[in-house]
Amino acid sequence: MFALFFLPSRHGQRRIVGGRLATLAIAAGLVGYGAMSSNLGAIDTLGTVFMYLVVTQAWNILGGYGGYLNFGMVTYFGIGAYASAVLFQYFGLSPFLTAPLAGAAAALFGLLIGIPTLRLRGAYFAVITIIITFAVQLLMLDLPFTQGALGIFLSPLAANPVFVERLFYFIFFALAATATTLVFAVENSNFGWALVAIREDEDAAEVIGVRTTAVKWTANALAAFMTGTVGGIYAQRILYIEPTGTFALDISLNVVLMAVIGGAGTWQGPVIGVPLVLLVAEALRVTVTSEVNRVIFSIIVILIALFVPGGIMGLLQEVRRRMRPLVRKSAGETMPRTGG
Amino acid sequence: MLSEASDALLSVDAIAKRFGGVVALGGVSFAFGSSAIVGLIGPNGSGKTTLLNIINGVYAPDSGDIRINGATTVGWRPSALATGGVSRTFQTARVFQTLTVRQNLFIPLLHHGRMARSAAARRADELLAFVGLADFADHTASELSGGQQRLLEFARALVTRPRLVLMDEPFAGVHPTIKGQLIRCIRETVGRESTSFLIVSHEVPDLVRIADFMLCLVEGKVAASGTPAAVVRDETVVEGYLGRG
Repeated sequence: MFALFFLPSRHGQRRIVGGRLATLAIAAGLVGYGAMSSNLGAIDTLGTVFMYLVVTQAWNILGGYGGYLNFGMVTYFGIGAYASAVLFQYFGLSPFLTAPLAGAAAALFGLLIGIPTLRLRGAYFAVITIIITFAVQLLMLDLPFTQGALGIFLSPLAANPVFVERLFYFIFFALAATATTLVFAVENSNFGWALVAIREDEDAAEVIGVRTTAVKWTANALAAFMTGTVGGIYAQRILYIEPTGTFALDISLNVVLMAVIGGAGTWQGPVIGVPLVLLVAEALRVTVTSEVNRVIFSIIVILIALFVPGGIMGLLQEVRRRMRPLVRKSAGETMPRTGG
Repeated sequence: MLSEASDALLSVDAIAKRFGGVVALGGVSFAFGSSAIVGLIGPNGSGKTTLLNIINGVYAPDSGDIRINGATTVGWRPSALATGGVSRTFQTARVFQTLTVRQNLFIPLLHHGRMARSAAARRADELLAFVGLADFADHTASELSGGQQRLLEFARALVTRPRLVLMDEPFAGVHPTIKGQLIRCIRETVGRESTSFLIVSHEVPDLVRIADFMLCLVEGKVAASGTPAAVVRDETVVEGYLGRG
């Protein structure tokens, strides 16, 4: 299902080599910065960027490529966080061993909840994902082992705080790099093309041989696993989780915003959108009230939906297409951006 | 029966389907073999598209059996049927609008076994040349006219070399030039690949020109079947669908 199918042409190869070198340079810079910088505030902020990048790339698989707009990614994130916290609290499992288990718990939930929800389409799917977030949040408030509204306190790692901060920086960085590589692989795989076919016309995709149900479930479970894993690490980083903050709808909305602004349906979109949105949000946080902040973001989303439906990546692709109209003829098949 | 059920490519046996209180199909039976063009006519609401959807696995019948090459396919999903050699086109062309014309043909190829990129590209280009869209290979599907989109959808249905193609109103609202092109392509495909076509259409003169056999559904039942000339002269068909004069 993940077989890489479309190989780039010679022109595409040159472009990809350049892109890979730039990506490696940026990655090396981030590794060096994390290892040497003494600015713990910046390291913490970058850790948050990487964390959001994982969740946004996860959203991108089913939302960007498949056209299923999930407004409840925080559900998987929160389940991962709680799974990690409960396993640590009650079973004493190592915080880092619990992360994949947290991912597995979220993936299992994603598979089960996908049975009814992935039969819905469009706005119905979007709405049900929000409702599920609230339902799971209520469940966490009521379950005895989650300690309700009181939440769960976790013990900090017995190590130098600077080392701990750097450790989480590198964990989030590795997860973000893995998530981005995975989405890049999806984009160039049969699986990715199946998702695009579903986004374009699900009925037509089914009749030409795309096993739409299996593809959607796989995408949803994969996204849940990625998000749950990062949620598990998040719990170990902040050392305290409770239902209201952990299942905050803002997280889900931010993820959609980041993907849409950067360019949903491209692996580069979240890489652009996540830091940009966090940067703007941070700038607005210190200059305007939170209400005005929301209004400004709403206006940005409306403007993007009206004038740049493919986000920044869509805009860049369009500019490149217009500048080099003859290139496309010989270039390898590349995934188109999402239609809007 | 247009063919003996034992050697039939498609065998439809006593298919019935209701939607609430409405009887869409009330026990439809027919069969045909390879290299056949079968026309399916009938007034609006007679159950033509429902029958196509049942053969294609979109709906499950309430009763009856569908066999393709002797194997029961009731309960199969459309994707499984596609893999088994059944493809279709829709009443309005449903191509992947933001993909290029060539990409539209790649996707079905990707899901029919592993094919090397070069082989897939060759097959896609071959089909695009066949339907006259070679010059548009790198255009997005949304840039094509309605008629060209029909040709693209038709090419997408043929690209995996299906044994049976179901076509729903392929000639409706199509320019005569493109209609002629579609008819030529259908005939050539039957001759070259032994593919069979089941074509639903209200364009009866076109079907009479192209079909080997014809069926007329009226109120969910087969009112007449046989050669096109015989069906269009059938009293029940004239009364229930074509009208006099």
